Amino acid sequence: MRGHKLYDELRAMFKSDLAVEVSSCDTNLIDSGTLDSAMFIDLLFCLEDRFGVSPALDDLEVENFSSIKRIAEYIEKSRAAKVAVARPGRLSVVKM
Amino acid sequence: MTRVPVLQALVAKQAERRPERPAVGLGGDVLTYGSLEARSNQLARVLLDGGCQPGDRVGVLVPKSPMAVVGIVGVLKASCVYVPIDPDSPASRVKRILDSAECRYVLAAGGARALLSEPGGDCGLIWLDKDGAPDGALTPRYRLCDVQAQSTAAVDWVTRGDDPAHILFTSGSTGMPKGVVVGHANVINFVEWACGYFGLNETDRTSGHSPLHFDLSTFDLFGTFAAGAYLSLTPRQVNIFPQKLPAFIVEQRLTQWFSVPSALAYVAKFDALSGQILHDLKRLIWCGEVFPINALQYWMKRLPDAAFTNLYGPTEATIASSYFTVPRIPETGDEVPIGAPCAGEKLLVMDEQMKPTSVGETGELYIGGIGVTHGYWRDEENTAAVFLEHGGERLYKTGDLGIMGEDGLVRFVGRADSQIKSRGHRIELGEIEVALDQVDEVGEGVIAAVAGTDFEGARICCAFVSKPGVEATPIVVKQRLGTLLPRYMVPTRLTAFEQLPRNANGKIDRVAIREHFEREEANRGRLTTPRRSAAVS
Repeated sequence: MRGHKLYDELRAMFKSDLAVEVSSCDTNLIDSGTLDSAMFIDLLFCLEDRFGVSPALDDLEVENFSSIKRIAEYIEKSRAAKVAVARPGRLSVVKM
Repeated sequence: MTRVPVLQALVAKQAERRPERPAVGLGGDVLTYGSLEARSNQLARVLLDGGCQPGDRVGVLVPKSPMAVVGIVGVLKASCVYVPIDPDSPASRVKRILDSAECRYVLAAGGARALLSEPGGDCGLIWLDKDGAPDGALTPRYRLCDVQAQSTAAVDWVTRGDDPAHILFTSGSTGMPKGVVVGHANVINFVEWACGYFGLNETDRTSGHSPLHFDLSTFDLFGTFAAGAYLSLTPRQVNIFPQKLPAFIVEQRLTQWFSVPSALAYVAKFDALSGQILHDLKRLIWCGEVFPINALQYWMKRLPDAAFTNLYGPTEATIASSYFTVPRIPETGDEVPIGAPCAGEKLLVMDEQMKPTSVGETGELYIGGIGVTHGYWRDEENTAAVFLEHGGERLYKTGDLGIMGEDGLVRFVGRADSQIKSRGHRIELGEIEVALDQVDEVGEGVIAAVAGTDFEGARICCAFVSKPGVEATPIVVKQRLGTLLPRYMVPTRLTAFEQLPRNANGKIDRVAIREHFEREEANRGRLTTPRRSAAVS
């Protein structure tokens, strides 16, 4: 259910901050032409601003951003990695 | 290079000389010169069979792919004129262009099915998708199987060098796109100069980054074909994920990259070249807007052996009219000149009386010579306003301002009007305001352009007030504009105002509106730019 809440938050963010209505969580944001370079920068800004997620360059991949569902999964993964970073003795994986 | 008078002959010549060499590809979909020749012959035969006469216009609404290139070459082989249309345009704009050019046929495939829901008069549909038929009420006059059933034998064309090859529709300030009619000789002259200057040859592997409705693509296509080289079309992801562009250059072993600078500045912004070694890249060429100095420094530092060349020139004068190869990494604060005219071209800086300005004095840029195109499609008024007879020659008045330097090189200063550049696209703000007027929910509105953070050129912004009794949200206004304008013209920043700010005379205060968006942009500029995780401790 946590994932679904994140889907809703992301859809709301696309609507309010990027002025884009994404029809479903599985809509392909790349093939549909929703994302271009300028929109992608705005999306990264919003992810940082609202979710505290700052992706590393290597994470800017199709599989992490192709749909709302994938972005939600990526946010969850990044948050989990951050927690891991905060624990002593763990290897730093994603940290800007 | 042997002089070839028409563009389709470049392909025919290479097909004869090196039929097995790759000509154009996207991912694993690669056509050799032999197959490009055969398939374009088949397509030309369908057009001729369908009644096309020399000079008839044929729309090309096929996503960038080897099939789209077959379409373009096939149209030329049928002695017709191709009209490339952005498949990301809304249906209303596609229809306006097809109607305005009076296209006899439109070649379409893929997502274009949704754009052709309103059949356009006498324009016949040729459906080139492998998937049998388009949806809905559309009935293609020909399908891919009809094309493939034709003979692959060569077609006789009647085209001459001074005939039109294509019509490129660009933004028009009155709301109607203007069609620039470009002749075969216009393109061939530039291609000959460029092949000689850059030393393009059959071992080259070039980028196909520009969309096919954008005039830089005509150099990608015909420069590559003139040299017998290979054109690697870029997939969509290259424009979204910054590290994909250098990765694409490496994977495809590209020797030449040609694009608008914003694509390159985007890579620099993310430091996406780190860890990538672009062994094969010999030259990097840009055109369409100013390359930000910090981004150019970034690229030049990392590619010490590559040549970096700035090209300048509007569509009306064909691809580019002047060039400047940057001799060393520029200093911060330096400006890269737009340079000196290419062979056969003239670049003049003149005052309002059309007298050459003194060195160091700002004037308007005029272009003369063999690149000057035929004018605007069926638009005598606009053609007469900017294609001028002067001193016995035809000049194009660009609307760009420039300065002639003591070194004989021209520097670009800005625009004389409200035309802007956003990610290399030239946009008339007036065209967006005309579209905004058509949005029912909007009472009044203003379009402004502000400088983007650092790579995309201008950001298009929209301030609006809802009609009484209606609450128009930014998303609704953006969606409505999206049905009227191509995607690159739709504002990315929209703000609903209770009322628009006005100055003492009661006029809308455009400065205050621009400042509002500049503040918003500055706020967004504080994004932490992603870096490679390995590079960050």
